Amino acid sequence: MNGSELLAVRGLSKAFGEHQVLAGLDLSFAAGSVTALTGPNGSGKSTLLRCLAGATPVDRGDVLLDGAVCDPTSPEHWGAVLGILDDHAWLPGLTVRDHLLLVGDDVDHALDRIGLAGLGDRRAPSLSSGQRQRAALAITLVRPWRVLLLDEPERHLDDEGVDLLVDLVAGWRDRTVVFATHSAELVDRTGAARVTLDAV
Amino acid sequence: MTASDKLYRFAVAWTSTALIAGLLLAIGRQIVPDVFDLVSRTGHDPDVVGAALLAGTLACWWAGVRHLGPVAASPAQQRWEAWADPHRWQARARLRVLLAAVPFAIGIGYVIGLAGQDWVPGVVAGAVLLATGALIALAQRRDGGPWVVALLAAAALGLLAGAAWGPSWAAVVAAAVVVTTVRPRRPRSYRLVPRWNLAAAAQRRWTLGAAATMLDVEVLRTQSVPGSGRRIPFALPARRARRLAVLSAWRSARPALARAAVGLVIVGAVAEVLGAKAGLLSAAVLLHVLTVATTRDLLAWHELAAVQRVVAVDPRRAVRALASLCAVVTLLVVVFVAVLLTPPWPALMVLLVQPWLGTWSRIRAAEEPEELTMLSTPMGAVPIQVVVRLVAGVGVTILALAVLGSI
Repeated sequence: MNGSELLAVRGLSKAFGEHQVLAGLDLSFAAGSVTALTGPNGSGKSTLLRCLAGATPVDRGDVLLDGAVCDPTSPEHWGAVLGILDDHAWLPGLTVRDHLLLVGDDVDHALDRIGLAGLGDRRAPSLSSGQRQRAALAITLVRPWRVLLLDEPERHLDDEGVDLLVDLVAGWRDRTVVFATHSAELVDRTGAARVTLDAV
Repeated sequence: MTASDKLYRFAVAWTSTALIAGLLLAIGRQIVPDVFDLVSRTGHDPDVVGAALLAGTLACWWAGVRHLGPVAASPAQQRWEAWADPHRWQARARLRVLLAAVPFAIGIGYVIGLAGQDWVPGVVAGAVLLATGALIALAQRRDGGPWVVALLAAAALGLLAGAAWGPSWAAVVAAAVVVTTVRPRRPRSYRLVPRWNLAAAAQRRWTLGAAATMLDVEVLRTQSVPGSGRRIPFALPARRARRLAVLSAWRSARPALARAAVGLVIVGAVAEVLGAKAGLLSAAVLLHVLTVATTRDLLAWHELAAVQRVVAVDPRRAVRALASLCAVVTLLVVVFVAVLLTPPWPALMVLLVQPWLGTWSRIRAAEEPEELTMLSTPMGAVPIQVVVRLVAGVGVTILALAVLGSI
């Protein structure tokens, strides 16, 4: 590992029952890099992101942040690493603005930037899938997360939303971004380094 | 209107009237006099109490018809309700209308019991039934259901308060009920649901069915959530745990406190009219309702790991934050009960513990099961975990009622 590497996994293994998804995986992500995880269904892209975000416990291996082994399931880890994954959800009683206020302060700017300026006072269940995806992306703007883990961030977005996503990724050069996708176009447009996972 | 529809409506009116006539004999002449003897012995005005009971019964009946009955449903709305099989649905709906007529008839029985006449009751009951049915149909066509319920509830609670504490309180309570119950219409958060009462009932049934079919109770939470969505009009604390407490409490406080205020009036009136033990039991039911209303975010927090990760607050602080409103409301109710009813301390302890035990049981029921157990029912296979989850918390309330009843 060199000095610029911010996030890494070492010997990471994860199985669901008899099915081995990740086996002894070694990967590292440099500070300020943008990496796209690609590969067929079942190759472990989402599982890797979930392990990095602390949403799924690893069977064997380590997750390293700043070169040190860390506990991805601790609130301290979550304070630096944001995972917008396939299980993203909202508290039923709170509005979109409330959720953003729980994370940071610059909420109006984030809502405006993401194109949801007029919808901040709506509860998330009342939004469309695309609007909810945009609201999830707004979370990335209200706190200076060091690492962003995004599982198929282009999901549910219209063309304008995908353009916005590309712009956001371009503006995240001070962060380490890892996203899983099946869109070759998104990989090309974001200029992301491609890491292809194969089914075990 | 087809000849079949006309025949059906005639049958409903005739059967309901017959039901009322039968119930007049059974209830109006036997049970009602006993009830009003009790009321008279305790020094309350039987006319006022009877009118209050009638208004309350009508409110319950209206609510039942609003959610179950096919009254004034347009063909489009019936289709929404009955997308599987309209004919079978209509048959079931007609049965529900007939069943809904029973509590209405009981309400009429109260009036008859007050009147104490032999032949007048039937005529009065029939006229009241027809007039009320017409009014309900008219109100429902104009989507005026909430107003009907609010006015009837205001009349019932106002009269009960008047019987217990005098006319001034009656006016205050009735006005408070109207103000807190009726609010300007605004879009519900679940936008796919047409703003129509019958469709709302269909939506509730749909979500229950969907939860069982998809083995996922998340859909139950996507129904509309009461309370304001407007921007918080004050500065928030800097620490995220306190921010979580303030935001959650602010969003839930208004509907919860409105329910608490109405519920405490009912508890006080019940205690005044029927005695302290009945008041205690009604307080336990009120606490159950308030606990469910104030712990929605707490339960969601436990289930939604994604929210925990994004907010990144220490879990224990988050639980304390999200439980704070429930604690305040519980204390409010218990202090009210302690001052008004002066029950023995074990009863107060039961009331204090009940919300937390109920919430704990709901959280436990919501935890991811290690294995899924399916229950065979006439509707198909239903995961028993979903059933347990739906009834969790109710069991604790029933236990509390049993303990309070024995104290």
